[in-house]
Amino acid sequence: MKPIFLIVGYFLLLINASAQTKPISGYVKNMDGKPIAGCHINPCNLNIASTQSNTEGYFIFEVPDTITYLTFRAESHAETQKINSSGRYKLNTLNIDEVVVSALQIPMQKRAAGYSIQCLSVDEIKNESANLLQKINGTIPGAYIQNSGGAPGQSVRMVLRGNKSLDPLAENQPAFVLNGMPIDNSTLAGFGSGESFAFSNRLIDLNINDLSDITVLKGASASSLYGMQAANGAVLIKTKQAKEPGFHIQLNSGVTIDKVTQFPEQQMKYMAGWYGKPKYLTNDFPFHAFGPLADTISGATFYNNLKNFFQEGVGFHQNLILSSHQDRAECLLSISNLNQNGVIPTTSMDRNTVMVQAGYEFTPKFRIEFFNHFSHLQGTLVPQGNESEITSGAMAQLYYYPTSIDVRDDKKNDGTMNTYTPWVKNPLYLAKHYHLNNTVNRNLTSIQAKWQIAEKTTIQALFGMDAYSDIRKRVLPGAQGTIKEVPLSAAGEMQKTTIDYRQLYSQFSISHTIATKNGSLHMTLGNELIDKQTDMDDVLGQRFVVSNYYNINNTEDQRYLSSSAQKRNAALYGSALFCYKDYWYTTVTGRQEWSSTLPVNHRTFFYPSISTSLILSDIDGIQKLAETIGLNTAQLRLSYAQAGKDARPYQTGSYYEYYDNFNSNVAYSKYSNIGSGNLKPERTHSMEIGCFMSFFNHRLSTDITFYHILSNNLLMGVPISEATGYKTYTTNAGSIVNQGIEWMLTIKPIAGQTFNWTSTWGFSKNWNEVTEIANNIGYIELPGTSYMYGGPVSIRLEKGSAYGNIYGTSQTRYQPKATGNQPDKNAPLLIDTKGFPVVDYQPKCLGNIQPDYIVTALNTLQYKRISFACLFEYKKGGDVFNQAEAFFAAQGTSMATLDRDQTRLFSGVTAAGDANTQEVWLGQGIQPSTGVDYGDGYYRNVYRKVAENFIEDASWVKLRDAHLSFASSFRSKYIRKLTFTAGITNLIVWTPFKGFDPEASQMGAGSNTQGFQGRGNPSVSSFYMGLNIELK
Amino acid sequence: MIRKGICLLGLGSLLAFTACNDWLGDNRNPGMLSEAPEDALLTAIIEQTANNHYNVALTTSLYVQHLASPNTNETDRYGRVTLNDCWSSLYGCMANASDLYRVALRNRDNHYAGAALVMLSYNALMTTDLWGDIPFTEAFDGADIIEPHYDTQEAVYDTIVKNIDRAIELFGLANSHKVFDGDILYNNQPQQWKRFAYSLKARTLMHLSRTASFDAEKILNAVDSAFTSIDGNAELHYSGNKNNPWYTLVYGMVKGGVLNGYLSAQLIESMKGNLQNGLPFDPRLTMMTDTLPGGGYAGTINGSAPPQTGFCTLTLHSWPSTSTAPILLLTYPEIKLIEAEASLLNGELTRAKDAFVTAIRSHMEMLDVDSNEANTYLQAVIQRIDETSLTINDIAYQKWLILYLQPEAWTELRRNKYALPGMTLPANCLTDRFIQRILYPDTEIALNSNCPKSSSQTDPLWWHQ
Repeated sequence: MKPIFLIVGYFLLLINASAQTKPISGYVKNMDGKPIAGCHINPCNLNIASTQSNTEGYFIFEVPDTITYLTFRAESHAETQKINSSGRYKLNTLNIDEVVVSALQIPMQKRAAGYSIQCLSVDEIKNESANLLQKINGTIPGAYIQNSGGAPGQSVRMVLRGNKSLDPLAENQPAFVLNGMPIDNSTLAGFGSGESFAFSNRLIDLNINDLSDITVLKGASASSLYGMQAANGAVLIKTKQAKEPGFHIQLNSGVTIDKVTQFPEQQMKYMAGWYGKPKYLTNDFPFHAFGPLADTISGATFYNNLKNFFQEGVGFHQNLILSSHQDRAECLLSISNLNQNGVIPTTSMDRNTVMVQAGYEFTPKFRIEFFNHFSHLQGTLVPQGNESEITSGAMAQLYYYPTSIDVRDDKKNDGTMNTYTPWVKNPLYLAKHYHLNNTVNRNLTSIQAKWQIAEKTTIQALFGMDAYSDIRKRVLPGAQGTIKEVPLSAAGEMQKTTIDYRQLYSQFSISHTIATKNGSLHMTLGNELIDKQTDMDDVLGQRFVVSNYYNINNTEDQRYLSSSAQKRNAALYGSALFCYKDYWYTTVTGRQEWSSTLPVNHRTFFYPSISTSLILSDIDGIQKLAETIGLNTAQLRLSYAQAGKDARPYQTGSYYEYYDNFNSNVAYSKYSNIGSGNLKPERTHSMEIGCFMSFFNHRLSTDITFYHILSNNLLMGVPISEATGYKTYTTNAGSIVNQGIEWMLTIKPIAGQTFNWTSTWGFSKNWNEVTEIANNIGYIELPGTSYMYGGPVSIRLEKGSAYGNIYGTSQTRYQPKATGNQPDKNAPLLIDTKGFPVVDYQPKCLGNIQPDYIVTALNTLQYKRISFACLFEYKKGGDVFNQAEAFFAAQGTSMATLDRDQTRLFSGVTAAGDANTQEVWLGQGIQPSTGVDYGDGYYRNVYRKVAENFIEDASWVKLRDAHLSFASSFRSKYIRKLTFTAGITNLIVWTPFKGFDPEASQMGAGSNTQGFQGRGNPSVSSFYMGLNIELK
Repeated sequence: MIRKGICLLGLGSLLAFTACNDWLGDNRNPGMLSEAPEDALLTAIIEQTANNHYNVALTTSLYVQHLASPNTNETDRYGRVTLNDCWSSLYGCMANASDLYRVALRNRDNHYAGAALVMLSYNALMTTDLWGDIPFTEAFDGADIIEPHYDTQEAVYDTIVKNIDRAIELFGLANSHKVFDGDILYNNQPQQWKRFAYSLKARTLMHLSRTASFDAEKILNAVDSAFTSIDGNAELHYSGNKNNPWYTLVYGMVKGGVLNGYLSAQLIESMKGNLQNGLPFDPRLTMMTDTLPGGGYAGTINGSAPPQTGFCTLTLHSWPSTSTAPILLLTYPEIKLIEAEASLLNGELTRAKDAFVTAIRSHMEMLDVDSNEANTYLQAVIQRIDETSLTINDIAYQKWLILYLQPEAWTELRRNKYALPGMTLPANCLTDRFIQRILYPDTEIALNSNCPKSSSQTDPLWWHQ
């Protein structure tokens, strides 16, 4: 089932196995009768005794007598898909006969997999997104992908089949495996004030053009062999290889133009001010936008500050790939540059990569592959504000600006900041002067050897390294010392953070195949070792002595922090794949794991999996019947798997941490977490049932999967009463159930020689419920809250509820019926003696962050060399707190505040139980007609303090991608092929959400705290063009 | 070939797993300590206590009208306040003290144990005087008791006094394991700590003046062994790279446009002598703030906007917000006022008057007030108490000044029922009575089922009744 994009062609032919033992020979040719060179031919579905076709397409090799299938694998393009059989071979090109690489690089046919596997060809996805996850957004049912904003390189989060851990700091994203080696994709938040910057998830280091295909293993059955790291699923990434004989050059160029996807609206009727006057209290400047009506002021002007603040982001991407495949040696070299300027002034990213992928066959039975990807990334980031320093962020400052004051007027004549009030920074000035420069050097390298030590026995070994250094230098300039200056910071400060990450990985396995007349058995036994270490050093210097000289030595006060974490895992694993008569496949796996992060008595544990696949349509009796109803293929899948997951490092026991240096004394203080000495690994039990069916010569195919995943013994830092001396207690304390449906439907209404139309629909829905949380603790609050005037908005995980309830203040109801923790929407509002609704400060559940379901529709039209594709996504549900609107309401720039000169009768009930009859004025101060003093007014006293007013439905219909592509085949001497593509990504077609694009989550991809929008950089829509030239 | 492969695999596994346990290590974080050295823990406890003092005072200084909000902030007008962060840092500090006590007791390091108990008591007193009933005897037990029981305020006071008595005993013994070090409060002098312990005992017992367990004799006994001069003050000095937190606050205001540290009109008018019967201009005011550009002093009325004509604020060179100004945990002038009040209640008027005058004189000394100006004021004070005798309210007023920017000021003001001349509710006040307590933090309500049902911020504490 991989109808979205064609990947490198894999083909299967049925052969006549009449002889006992003999060599098999033949030709591989395309539809035009031209020979296909370099085609890999393997017996059955196993990767043993393979051979390749030569330049004439000819091949010959010895196969065991019991082999009934040959697999042909040609690494060229879509048009060579159909291979001419030479009479003895029957052509069979079912989707499920693709060979995919499953866990630990064990090749298997999709038909043999008892669980759903999804493959994507990277080249077929045309958009120019720099982040792999953003690029594939919308193409995988069951994957929830969400960006955290549109700044260059900003992180993107991916969760497969729902969150499976409850620990606020646990990783819920899948493992990423590059050419067989797990690689880091963390989004490391900054430290201290560095936290206010939006960093990348480390997949950004990969040059997407270097990648050939991606396999998504969503369930535990698929990924169980990868062990703990893949308890949340796994994404297997393969880089391009020089498979095509000869020497080739490929050139890629891309341009992207980014614009902010959507803007909220602000009122443009009332000027800056307070109580209808142009100044705030006794100051000679305003602060809010509760000033006079513009009609009463001559020359009043309004500005669209939100739009004026942003610019167009422009990005360029260049890539050169050289590949050579001669005889026994192959080598591919790739060099690329990506340069992006963001929609927020001064934000940028510049990335250079070099990749080498080489293979050499020392003997036909011994092959070595070498892979290296080096990247150098430099980014300039602007603060987006964080929880404790919301006012340090550019976006929050922008929201403070009244619409009657031009935000572009950012500088005074003396070069210092111009701002309308000393309490608000000018966001443009802030963006231009307060930066964090981020430099990341990353090296990914691996050596792989494959040695066929006997006819049916192969040894594989892989050794790899993933190492990067991430250097972050933040400079907040201090005051210049001019008269009446409002500085960004009085004293200024600078911080340098260095993160060193390295992972050593080794894998060793031996596999053996036994083939009998009715089937085969393929066994693998292996061992895996992973050693990860992260070191962080952080130096902060505060109060510059000489202004404008940014050196830590030039600061009055310095502090240094460092931390180090090491995690080691060892594992032994085994798997056995039984294949019966080529229609029934069963896989059994087991893995014994050792983890350094668990107490000695619990550090080793075992988990098994079993899965089975039955190709009903290939069973003799059924085959005929199936054909009569137009059924070409029917596959049934069933699997059960367990997966373990260990703790983060150093969660056991208690500690004292460095607190401060007090003159010549050092202070150490209790660390806020205490860990149980009895921690056990988390365990996930996953069940999956699926069915693939294809009808009418594969013109209609459908693939449906149901899954049920129980994760228990969940490790958590449970919040406990601070009176215990600790804030959290790490223990096994919870369980969560995820269940869902993933459904794909592919229709090919038109499938002709010149015109093709393929329509693919995806539907996914995930239900989840937190079924247990430790002891009598009712909920866990995720770290990171959103700012609200009535008290912070937070995300809670609650027993009996789905992951991620949004909690905040609400309007008090009159005699609410018990409705759990939600405000009783049916009860009337309580109205106070002055005629206004009453704020309920006790936080209530106001919504849930998870979407109800997601539908995607991809339509691809192809006419000769022109193709058009568009991918729509409909997301139903998922609530989001609109942080921007909460600011607007408080500042008086919200559209809601336009009725401030009017009166309103709040419908509700007074404390005595009578219907409210008191009509109130919504403005500030004394109502002109009645002389009643309303103080700061409804919007300041009540409305802005009620989080309920700012929780919005974030459903959307998005055009994820639409592009037109033109491929031309040159008869030129040098150019073989030229492809030009132009398209757009991430357009909002419809959404009830009134802020910026609700997708951009302000906490970043590394955080489980989602559901807040506004404080961070907004998402962007892009227009892109790409040119791909293949030279001869 | 197969055999060779299996051999290799076997060898590999053997090597891997015999060495496996060593290779996996003990999962101890190399970046932290498993057991804190006593001196480093003591340093942290003292520094944290001073920080707690400052953080609590940020709010309570509004309630006592030493300071006023620059923008009619709701806290100033008795809006809902839970001080979650203060709760958190108070308990964090007390947990450190409790750990130090345990470790020191095990090592027979009696001076560490004594200092730990004094600091534990100091913070516990601050905590109970904010919230009333608090977890105490069952607190700091980590995972063993994750929902500690709440002790009544009466029980907390009992435990505090017992702990202080125990600390006094411990200071009489010697350290048997390690040298007493890391003491940034008294530079490692246990006998100074002993006086601090007696002084804290006097303060604690004085709070109980409205309860049945009040005993003036006991207080006077404690006072006898308490501080003997301002040199004994329990105050944390800042120097080098460490700045007084008030200085940092004012620095942000002066250089960064952050609004804070506006002096209350109640304070300014009182010290100008406008609200006091027979007292002249208080020279201490000259040390506490700058005159307005046009001369004179003006404050901001709590709950309303600052006067347009100008207002006084904390400054970078005024007492006690200079970079090196100490945080005053407990001072000699306060002890003298406690002595005055206890002797007055005990019927020893002469001792009371002497202590009262000494308190003011020593406070003037602490502030470095010009001696002539100080004498003028003192003469007026002496004349007044000679004419109209000394009242509890006189003591309360001086205490309110001596406890400037200290959390203790709120405790004393509440104990004296906000009875200061001219003291009124803040403008635009959200309640109709003076504020009496802080509400329990939301986290505590959620995580500890023993947490009492919320009461009103205007309900008085146990010792008030």
